This record gives sequence, C-alpha cells and structure tokens, in this order.
Amino acid sequence: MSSTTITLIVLGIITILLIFAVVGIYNKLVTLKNRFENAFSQIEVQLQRRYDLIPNLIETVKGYMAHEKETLEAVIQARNQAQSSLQTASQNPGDAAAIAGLAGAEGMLGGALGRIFALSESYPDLKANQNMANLQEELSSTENKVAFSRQAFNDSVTAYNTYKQTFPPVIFAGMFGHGQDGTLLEFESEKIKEAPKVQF
Amino acid sequence: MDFFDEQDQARKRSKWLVVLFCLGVISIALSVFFVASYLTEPSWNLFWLTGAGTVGVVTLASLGRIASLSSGGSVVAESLGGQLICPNTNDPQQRRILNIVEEMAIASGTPVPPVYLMEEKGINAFAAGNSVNNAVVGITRGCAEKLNREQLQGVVAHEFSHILNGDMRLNIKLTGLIFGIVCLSRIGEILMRAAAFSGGGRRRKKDDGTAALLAIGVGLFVLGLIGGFFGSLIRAAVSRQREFLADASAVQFTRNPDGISGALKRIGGFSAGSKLETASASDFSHMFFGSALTSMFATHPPLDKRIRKIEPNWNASYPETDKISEEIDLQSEKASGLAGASSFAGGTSPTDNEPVQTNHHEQVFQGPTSENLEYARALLAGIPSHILDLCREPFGARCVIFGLLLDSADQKIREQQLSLIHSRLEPETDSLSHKIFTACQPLSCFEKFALIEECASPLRELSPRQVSQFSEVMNGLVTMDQKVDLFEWSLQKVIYHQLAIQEDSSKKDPHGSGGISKNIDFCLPFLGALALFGGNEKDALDSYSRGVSILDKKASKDLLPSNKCGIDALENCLPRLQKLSASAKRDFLSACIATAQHDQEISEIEFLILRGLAAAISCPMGPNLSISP
Repeated sequence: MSSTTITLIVLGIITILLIFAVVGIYNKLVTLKNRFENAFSQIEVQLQRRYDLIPNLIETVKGYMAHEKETLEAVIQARNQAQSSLQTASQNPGDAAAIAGLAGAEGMLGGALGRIFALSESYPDLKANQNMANLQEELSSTENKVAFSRQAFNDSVTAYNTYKQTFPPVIFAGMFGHGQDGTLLEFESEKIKEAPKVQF
Repeated sequence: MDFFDEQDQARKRSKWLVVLFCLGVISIALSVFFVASYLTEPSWNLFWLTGAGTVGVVTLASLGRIASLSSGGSVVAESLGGQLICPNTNDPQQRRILNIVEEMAIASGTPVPPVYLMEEKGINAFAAGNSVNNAVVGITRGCAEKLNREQLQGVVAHEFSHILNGDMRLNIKLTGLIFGIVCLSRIGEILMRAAAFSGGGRRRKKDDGTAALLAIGVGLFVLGLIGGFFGSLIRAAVSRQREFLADASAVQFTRNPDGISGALKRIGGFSAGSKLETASASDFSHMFFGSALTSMFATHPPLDKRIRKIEPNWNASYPETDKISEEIDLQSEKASGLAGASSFAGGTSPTDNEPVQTNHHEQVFQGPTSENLEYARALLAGIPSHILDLCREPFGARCVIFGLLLDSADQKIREQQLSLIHSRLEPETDSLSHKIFTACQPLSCFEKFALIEECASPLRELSPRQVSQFSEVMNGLVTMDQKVDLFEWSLQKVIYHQLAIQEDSSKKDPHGSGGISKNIDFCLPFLGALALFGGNEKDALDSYSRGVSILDKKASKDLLPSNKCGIDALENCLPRLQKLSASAKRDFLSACIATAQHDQEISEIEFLILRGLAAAISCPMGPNLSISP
C-alpha cells in the first residue's frame, strides 16, 4: 500500500470529521433559532389577549369621557397598529425590523393607554365602575405575563446570538443563512413595563 | 398489556438491535478491507486502517445523531416544522386537542406534554422525546380539522401508548444507527468526487492512489446503501409491530374502537392521506401515526390491515374525508372548561374525591382506561376554571406552584415565604401566589397534583435562567419552616422530575437493570411508611406484611421502626430504586399499592408517598388509584 493512498485516506477521514462538526453546528443553529421562534408564540397569545381587551375598555370608558374623543381614537389607532405589527412579527420573529416595529407600536399603545388611565382619575363615576376595575386588573395581569414571556424569548434570542458569535460557528453562520442576529424584544415605554397601574 | 413489561422488552430489543447493527458494521468494515486489499497487497496495517475508519465513522455519526435526537422531543418537533400550541390558546380547534391531551396525560399520570401543530394537509400525528418528561405530541393541521373528538382521542391515545411503552427511545436508537450506516455511502460519494477531481489533474504518478480512492469510494457508497437498505427493513419491521400494539392500546385506553378505526378510515378516504410535505419527514417516518411516505420501507402496516385488526367486520369502504369538516362545539371546548362532559355522562362526580375501595392494584400499570379518563375529566372540572387558566401559561404556572407551597398553618412563615418571592422575582408574583393559595385551600391533594401536572407544559417554556431562578425560590419556600413535609417532598419530586432539574435525567434511560431481591432493603422503608402513616395503626403490621410478601416471600416481615421510615430515610433509598429495571419497579409499586390499599382506601398521606415515589423513579402514576374497575 503506497504512502499516497494512506495520506489520502487520512485526509479523507479528517475531512469527514470536519463535515460532521459543521453539520453539528448547522443543526445547533437551527435548533436555537426554532427555540426562540417558538418562544415568541407565548408573547403573541398574551399580547393578542390584551388587544382583545382594549375595545371593551373603550366601550366602558366612552360613556364617561365623551369629550375626550381624540384620546380614545388614539388608543384605538395604536391598538390596531400594534395588532398588525404583531402579525408581521409572528410571521417571522427573527426579523429585526418586524420586532422593532412591534416594540414601537407597543410603546405607542402603552403611552395612549397611560393617558386614558391618567384622565380617568378625574372621573369619579368611572373610578367606581366595577367593569373598569376588572378590565384594569386584567390588563395589568396580562402585562406581567407578557413581561415574563418576553424574558424567556429574550433569553433564547441571546442564547442564539451568543452561540453564533463563538468561534467555529461564527465562520459558518453567514453561509447557512444565519447571518442576522435575533433581536431582543424590549418595550421602551416604562409605563408598559410597570403596567397601566392607577389606584382606584 | 402492561407497559412496564413493554418497556423492559423495548430495552432488550434495542440491545439486540445494537448487536445486530454492530455485526452489520463489522461486516461492512471487512468488505471495505477486501475492496481495498483487492487493489493493494493486503496487510495488517490496511486491515486496521479500514476497520478503524469504518467503525469510527459509523459510531461517530450514530452517536452524534442519537445525542441530538435525545435532547428532547421539542427539538424533533421543531425540526419537523412544528409550532408550539400555547397551552392557553383560545382557538377552539387547538383548545380541543389540548383538552384531549390533558385528559389523557392526567389519566395516565404523566406530565402534560407540550403539543406542536404542523402545517400539513395530511392527517398525521407523532410522539417524540426519550422519556415521559420531555415527550411532546405533534399533530398536523389536517388531523385537527378532519377528525372528530372521538377520533382525535383515539389518535392521542395511540401516541400515548408510544410514550408509555418506551417506543420513542427505541426509535431514536434505530434512527441513529441507520443514519451512521447511510453516512458511509455519503462519504463514499465524497471520496468518488475527490478521486474524479484528483484524477482530472495531470499528476500521473498518483494514478494508483486515485484508483484506490475511487474504488474505496464506490465500495463505501454501495456498502452504505446496502447497509442502509437492510437497516431500514429492520426498522420498518420493528416499527410495524409497535404500530399494531399502539393501535390496540388506543382501543384499551379509550375503550372505544370506533375512535381509532374511524381516524384510520378517514385517512384512507382522504386525498391527502397521511402524507407529509416536510423534507425531514423520512428520517422520522417511523414516529408518525400514519405512514408519512409511500415506499417499500413502509414503517406502518397497510391501513386496511390496521383497521381490520380493530374492526374485523369492516366492509372496506372509506368515508369521503375531503368533504368532511368537523364542526367543533365551541361551547363545550371553551377556553377553560373541559369538554365532552355531556357525551360521557355518568362519570365520577367532581367532588367525589373520597377514596373508593379497590383491590385491583395491577390495573394501574396497564395504562389509562376510560374510567380513568372520566375521572381525570371530572377532577379537572372540579378545579375552579380561573386557576386552571393560570396553569396554562408560564407566569401563572409558576405562581400556582408557589401558591401550593405557601404554609397554610403558620401565618408568620407564610409572610416570610411571600417576602422571599417578592424580593427575588417580578412584581405581583407574590400577590398572585397568595391569591392562588387562598383559592386552592379547599382543594384535595388529588386535585392539587392534577394542577401540578397541568403546569408541566408551560413550565417547560421557561428559559434556563428562569428555571434556575424558579427552582431556587421553590427550594427557599420548601425549607422556610426548617423542615420538609410530605406534601412538599412529593411536590418537589414531581416538579424536579418534570423539569429534569436535579439530575440530568433527560438524557439518560429512565430505568436501569437492577432486581428487587438485591435492593430489598431500599424498598422496605417505603412499605413501612405506607403501613405506619397511611392507615389505621392497628393494621400496620398486616398491611406491611402484605406488601412484603408481594416483593419477596422470604423477607423478614417485622415492621420497621417509624424512625427508619421518615422522609430522610425514604430520600436515601431513592438513588438505588431509580436503577431498578422497569418490571422490578412495577413489582415494587404494586407492593406499595397493595400495602396502601390494605385498608381498602388510599388516604392522602398514602397518595403523597406513592406520587412522590413514582415521580422519583420515573414511573407514571395517575390519580386514579382510587378507582375501582
């Protein structure tokens, strides 16, 4: 057996091992991406629940705040905007623009809701309304759930991004279509994080 | 049918398969050697080189594949394109699937598995994962749309049979081993290309090397294909057997042959059948409910054969599934409520948690029955729906566990516990936990443990950081009063088991191969505890010796002193008990249940001991101990 053959075979084996390693990296990238995309679905359910509550809120508030029409409309608009951003984001939770869009729309909605709750302070009848209290309670509990799921989502996005930046994967990530980092979902408005909490 | 025996058999069978595959790999290695030595003179060097090369490649590839598949069912489900159905979804179709899965899980005493939805037209479903703790159930869109509740229940029962019988571990090994062999042919392909490439060059001196490379490439390619062919045949044969078994179990679990056979018939009458579009389907074809591919390697018996096994007088006509669209009774599948109550009239009444007498302790090991399903449904119906809703999403599920751990006797300790939660976790976690604590006060142990099983799937959505935070706080709550009581012990066992926190149990085989006789000293404290604390003290000796005689006729029947049956003593026994074989665990658990049932009823204390024990040794055990057949 000639030494060339042996060299070739050894080279072949090394190539094979390398191929295994690369396949492993590819699989891991896919797994981590799947993980965070699936983590988004819990956020989606919770946000959707919140958006479903808002029309009820408007309905309740409308009777008391007849001359605050603009504020109410702003809320409805922000809500619709957020809903469509949510749909875009849920199609592709790895897309930076979609996530940023959702974060922006959520910020708007949080601000608009905050204004309603601030205004409602000056309507004693509204404050006494049981329906209003329930809605507010429910909105704020959904808020906690969103925050918690967002934490889980951001953790898995971070795991994906970190893995992509470690040594061997960093070479291949781009080639395998994992060039773009996952984007963390952060809601800018502090009011949203704290939930629209107004004491009645 | 006894799923402990099935698990042992699956274990043995997979050992045999591994031996068979090893023989196959060795003969492939020898063939590679012969091909190579045909070209150059045979030498020991060549022999070792080819042998090590072939075996090394196959082993590496197989182990790699097995390891990646063993990382849990969700990885498999996600690579098949599955989308997690949130446990708190409002979509009536998805709600219906989840309700069915929840009932089945609680009836069979396993954590509620996450359910994945695949956007596929065909009617199909699968179960994946390597133990009950990381199992997932996957269902296609077609399955959700085209089947009625009864039929879906049959399909889910079929998948649970795979989970309970340990088929999934066998499947993972099979897939991995075949992958390793098929890898050889891939490598052969690469070598052939390399040879063609270097042969194209003008370096004539290397001609002998190129020719050898080409020959080895062709040899590997062909051998890998042949190996893969026989591997797939073996896999198909094994898998077909398991499918028949799972169909039979589905009938047994639901006690309703129409469900599963109806589902199979609808596949037969459906233009999309059970076909899957996703590219990775062929790798996992053996895991599915219906055959995903049509080929001679069919991993499933033909539909008509399967239907005939369930329904011998079937007239071979299929329904026109394309025209069927199932209307879902929105009212009965509402977000929080439990479905189908009307069609299953006469179940155990929800408040009837008083232990019922029974002597049939063997029954627990044969999977859930329709009574258990009804019992599970009734149990869930007895729990306030807002609490159940909380169990279905991560934030609430975490609070439910905390709420159950709050000390009900001592208010001072409870306040300390709440301030611990307040200081460590997000705002309002403590207030919600306290609310749940108040709401759960009137619930019985059985209901509380049903709640805990419900929490399993949302808790698996936690990120690793959240899990470690959660388990830290949970430990803090448990040890706040400086002692661990039975409820806390049992709850901790179940949660650790579900989340695989304590030891890395998810990667390992849940059962070992130990026998009872060598480990009898580790079994006795449990019987002692059940006898001493479970029932009437006067009967303690009798019930104890009844359990002992099931375990080992010759063992001493002297009751252990109570200080040797405390929680610490029980805890010390667990590591050895975990290593028992599945059938030894079955015998041990039957002895425990016999002891507990000596006084004709299962008290809460007995239930807690049994539940914690079952969780710690990875055996599913339902809340149905108290159901008489």
